[in-house]
Amino acid sequence: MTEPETPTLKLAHCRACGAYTFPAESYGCRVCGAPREQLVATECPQPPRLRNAVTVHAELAAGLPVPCVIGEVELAPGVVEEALIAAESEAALTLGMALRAEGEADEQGRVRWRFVPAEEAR
Amino acid sequence: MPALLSERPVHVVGIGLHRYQFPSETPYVTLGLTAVREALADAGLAWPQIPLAVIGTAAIGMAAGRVMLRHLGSSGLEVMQVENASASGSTALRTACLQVAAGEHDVAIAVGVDKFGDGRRAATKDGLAPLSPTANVPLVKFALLARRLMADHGLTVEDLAQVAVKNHGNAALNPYAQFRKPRTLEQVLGSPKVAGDLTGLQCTPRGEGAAAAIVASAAGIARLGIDRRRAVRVRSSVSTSERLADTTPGRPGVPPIVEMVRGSSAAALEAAGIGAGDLDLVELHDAFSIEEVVYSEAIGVCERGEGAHYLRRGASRIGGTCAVNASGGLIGMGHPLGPTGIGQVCEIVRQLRGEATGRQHGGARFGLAHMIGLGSVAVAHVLAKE
Repeated sequence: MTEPETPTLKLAHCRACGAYTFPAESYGCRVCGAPREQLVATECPQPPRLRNAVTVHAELAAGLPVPCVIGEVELAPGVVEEALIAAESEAALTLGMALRAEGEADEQGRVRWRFVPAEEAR
Repeated sequence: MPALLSERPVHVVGIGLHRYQFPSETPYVTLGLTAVREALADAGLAWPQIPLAVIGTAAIGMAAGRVMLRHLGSSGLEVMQVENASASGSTALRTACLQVAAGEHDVAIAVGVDKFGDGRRAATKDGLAPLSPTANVPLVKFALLARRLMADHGLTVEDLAQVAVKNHGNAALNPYAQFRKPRTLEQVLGSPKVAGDLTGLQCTPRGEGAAAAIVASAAGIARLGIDRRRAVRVRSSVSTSERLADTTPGRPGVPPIVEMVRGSSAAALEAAGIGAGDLDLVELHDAFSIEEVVYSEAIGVCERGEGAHYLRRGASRIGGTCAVNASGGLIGMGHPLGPTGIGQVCEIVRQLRGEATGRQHGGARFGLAHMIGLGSVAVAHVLAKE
């Protein structure tokens, strides 16, 4: 029996203009509008970095475990996305810190992502 | 530059509202007809005199117009419906104004109506998996923005809360508002935390309601014998959407939504032939308290980084330099989606006429109604007493 494959977070890299777009399955480049055929799925070109974070106290989305920390994570130059941060509290975080994406696929194959401080992830 | 409304003047000649309220069993037809009948009475017009109705709704569903309007008599008028999220009503008004300015009709009504809970978002149907479960929750984005501005500009939790104190106070004076209680700083700060530093009383409530505005050309005003003294000119109408953020290294990062507000309001002011300093009234999208602080700066009623100070010194109060959200705004008056943008215009028209009993901002000549819809899109109207 083989181990299930660990999901890897990917972006789209545009062959036409060099910009990154999230997610990798995007229908076009967010900068130049090049079609999907011009986009290449690639891993983050840099360690994702935490740019901002807040604690969410109310269940604002289905299945959101509250309280939780939601952050803005820079995945690539100019690509900042909101993401669930695996931290007990904001106090455990430092802006600019490196993070690592951890994905877990559910039974339908949907991947839930969370970002773990890189030091913990090692 | 948008020029049609400069060349072909359009005026708001009738306004009406159904009070914004918490979700109820009231049919949307009752909400909408209340606003329409009030607007007709305000303009001194009868339903058969209206040749065009533009319905703005985000959640009611297909063909909401005829289902509602047939109870006024089937006059054979043109009926259309627009959906533009929270800016649906603003977009309905813009459509009505442009139709009248284009000469297709000389009078038209824009109606915003909505009930909470039936809206479905396209963002969940794009076939792309979001990274965060909160990806489509505006509140989280604004909590993050607030946190960033607190770090970068020294904004405090009290500054944010003061927006809600002012707007709940204004709403308490507005008979159409969903909230009618003034709130203290302690009450706002002491309400349950929702996300980041935003508490419940700093967020717009869920609700329902309706708003209507009748617009007419100069020819329509003359033909229908409308009281010209109570007519308020729509000097400009502008609609835009977000651009990609400028990520040039070394440039101060301006969030795309804030840049959208700056650009759309600047275009509306330019088309109206006035500057931000001429504005006496601004109704803006304060779904969350931080928005009023940053949009006041983006619109230009105060300098960048001065939004909190502007509020603190009372410049945005009724009676201050420029009354911001004299209606109570989305936080106090409410935000039933479709009606909200037209409700902003109703407030400015009432203020410019000098008919805002109990909350009148004295000597007002110019007002800006600025609305944002999910996506984001912006719709701005400049109104003038002439």
